[in-house]
Amino acid sequence: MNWIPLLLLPLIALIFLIPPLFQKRVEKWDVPEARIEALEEKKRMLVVAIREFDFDFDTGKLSLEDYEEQRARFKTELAEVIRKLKEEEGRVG
Amino acid sequence: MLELGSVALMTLYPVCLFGIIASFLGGYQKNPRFVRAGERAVLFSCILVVLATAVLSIQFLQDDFSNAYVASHSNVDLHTIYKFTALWSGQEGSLLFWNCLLAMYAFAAVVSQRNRNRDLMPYVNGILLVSIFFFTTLHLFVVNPFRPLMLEQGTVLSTFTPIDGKGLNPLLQHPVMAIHPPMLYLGFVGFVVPFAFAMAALMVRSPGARWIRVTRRWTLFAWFFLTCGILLGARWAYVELGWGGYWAWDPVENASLMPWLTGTAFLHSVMIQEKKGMLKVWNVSLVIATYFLCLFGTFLTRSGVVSSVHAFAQSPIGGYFITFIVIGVGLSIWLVRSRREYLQSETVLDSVASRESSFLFNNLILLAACFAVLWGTLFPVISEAIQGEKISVGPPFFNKVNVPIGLFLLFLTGVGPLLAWRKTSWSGVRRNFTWPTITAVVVALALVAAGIREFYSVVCFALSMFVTTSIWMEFYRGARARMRQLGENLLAALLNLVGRNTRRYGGYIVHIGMVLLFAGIAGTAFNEDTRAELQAGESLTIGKYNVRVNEIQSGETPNYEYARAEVMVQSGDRTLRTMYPERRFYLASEQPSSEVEIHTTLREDLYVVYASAGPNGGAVLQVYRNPLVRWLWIGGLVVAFGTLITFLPNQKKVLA
Repeated sequence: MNWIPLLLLPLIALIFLIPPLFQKRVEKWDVPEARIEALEEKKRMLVVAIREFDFDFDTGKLSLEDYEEQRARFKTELAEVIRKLKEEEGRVG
Repeated sequence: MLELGSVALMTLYPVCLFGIIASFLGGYQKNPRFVRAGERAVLFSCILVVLATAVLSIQFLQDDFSNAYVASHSNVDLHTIYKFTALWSGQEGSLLFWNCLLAMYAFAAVVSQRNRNRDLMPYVNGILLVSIFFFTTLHLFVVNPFRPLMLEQGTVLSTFTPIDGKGLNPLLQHPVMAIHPPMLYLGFVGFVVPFAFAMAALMVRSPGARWIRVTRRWTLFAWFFLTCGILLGARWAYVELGWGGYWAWDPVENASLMPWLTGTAFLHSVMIQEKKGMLKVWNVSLVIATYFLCLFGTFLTRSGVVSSVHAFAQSPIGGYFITFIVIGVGLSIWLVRSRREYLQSETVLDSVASRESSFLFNNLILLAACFAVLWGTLFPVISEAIQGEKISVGPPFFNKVNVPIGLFLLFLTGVGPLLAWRKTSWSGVRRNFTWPTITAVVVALALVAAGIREFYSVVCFALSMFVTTSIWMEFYRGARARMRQLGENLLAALLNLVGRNTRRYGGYIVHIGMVLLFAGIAGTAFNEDTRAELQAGESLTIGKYNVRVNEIQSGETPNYEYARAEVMVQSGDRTLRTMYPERRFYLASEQPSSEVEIHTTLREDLYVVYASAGPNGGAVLQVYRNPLVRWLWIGGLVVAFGTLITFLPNQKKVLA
């Protein structure tokens, strides 16, 4: 077999790989702010927890007393997280 | 063709190296130019490996025996489908196939995530490329799949193309082998994606639940294929190896089971991190363990360190693998330790009577099982290193340790759904456990009354009923809640229940499948077998079956010679079927093989093997009666179905 056509592969590799290194327009690097990300995560966690908790109550796994006590705790926690999240978002702009 | 394959692999090497440097540098400097170049390196790597794999496949299909690998694993008369599957029948091809799947996973990860997780992706790309680079090193320097066949003439070596190849190992000439290795590899290789995201999350100091959410489907995908691969391997062993069983605690089987156990633990424990922000170190450790156990199993079975009936490829790759694993594990542990301040739990366990604590127990049990399997598998190596004598550990050890562990795991499978997240009151525990406990006790008493005395089997069936009842109650209570709140009928309520929380209810279906698997395994306690040389017209009896040899035949095809018995199976006066168990001798590879015949029902399998020609000219038949085996395969299908449900996105309005 003629090896010359096979040199095309490394050549194509070069043509494909190198251009991004010299591109003029640089995209914006959109990295989540660490504290906001952590709070968003906590908020998501609490929303899911409340949803699961409601479902566990509906299916009879929890007593009314446990349900009301824990749910109130979750809601307080969630309200606190949302407040902090708004503060952080306001700070970052 | 050989040159094209070689050039593709040689080009892949610098492309990977460039991509690794560009990706890590891009991530570290937050430089989009380098990051994009790294992404392109991943994409181009995939194209190159797929090209190399395609070239090797074409060489097999065209009987191009100038390639030493093709000449060693195929022959002209081999069926076309097996010419294709011969690709992964030996070391060189199977590692190329592994790298091909790895590069395809990397390609899919880049395409799907490059614009979503910009901070993680450069490191993900870098880690994926390091894996591809490692396998490419093996291709180029240790087990080259594009090595020309050479002939030594005196002191001169020249290329040589034989008229025919040596043929494929007969044991691999089975339809299951067309899908079992790809599925197993898709499972093994697939865990690289969650591993890469976990490491990337640690590198950017953001090891929260984001990497878990991003990789949830990737992990399930890998777990799904690993599960299917293991079960198909068991099926292949059952129908092809001719020893009447499907699992022998062979090192290759164990090598696939270990990452499955840690992967299963990981699938459960990530839910605790997602819901409570706990177990961050644990989850990262589990994904590291799972990924490296996939590689370790490959090292174990391909390096010749342990021998196996499933190992069809051995070569000097062991040193490379162990070096890669040791460095990889070392770096991973260092990364986890250096980021431990970001891995603190956000909450604590509220109560022992909670779903998360049952998941924790489940994790510990799965890890205990993994350790027992690892210890038993490595014991011959350890004993040889210490005492200079290889002491094999057989099925009795594995069964003695793993059967109680498995049963406890089955029990926890039933306990989990009965407990609420966070905390279940003791009155709730009593209420939820009543029916499952009653049904389990009734089943145990009924079995004992029926004369069954095998302790573990009775416990297994009782626990199976416990789990089934608890899961059924979950479906029923969930549907009842919907019917009460939304006025839906039972069917609509059930469908919507599953549709609006596919993860939870798909998981329950998987658990039902596991119950069926356990029931199939429990049947092993009642296996029986017999062996006899039978002349035409003679018969033997096993269980309710009468097995009669009508005729003994022999013949030849272009691929093999065969001796076969025509066997009529009767139960009482009723003829069930005629079977043709066969003993083959493959001409190209000069290897024998048994083709077993199985009469299968939901109750039991009648498994007939033509073991050999007898000294008196008859057929030596080995006949097994294996109760409940079919439930194992049905269980596997249910597990697969349940896993597919968990893949589905939830319907919009979520109640559950």
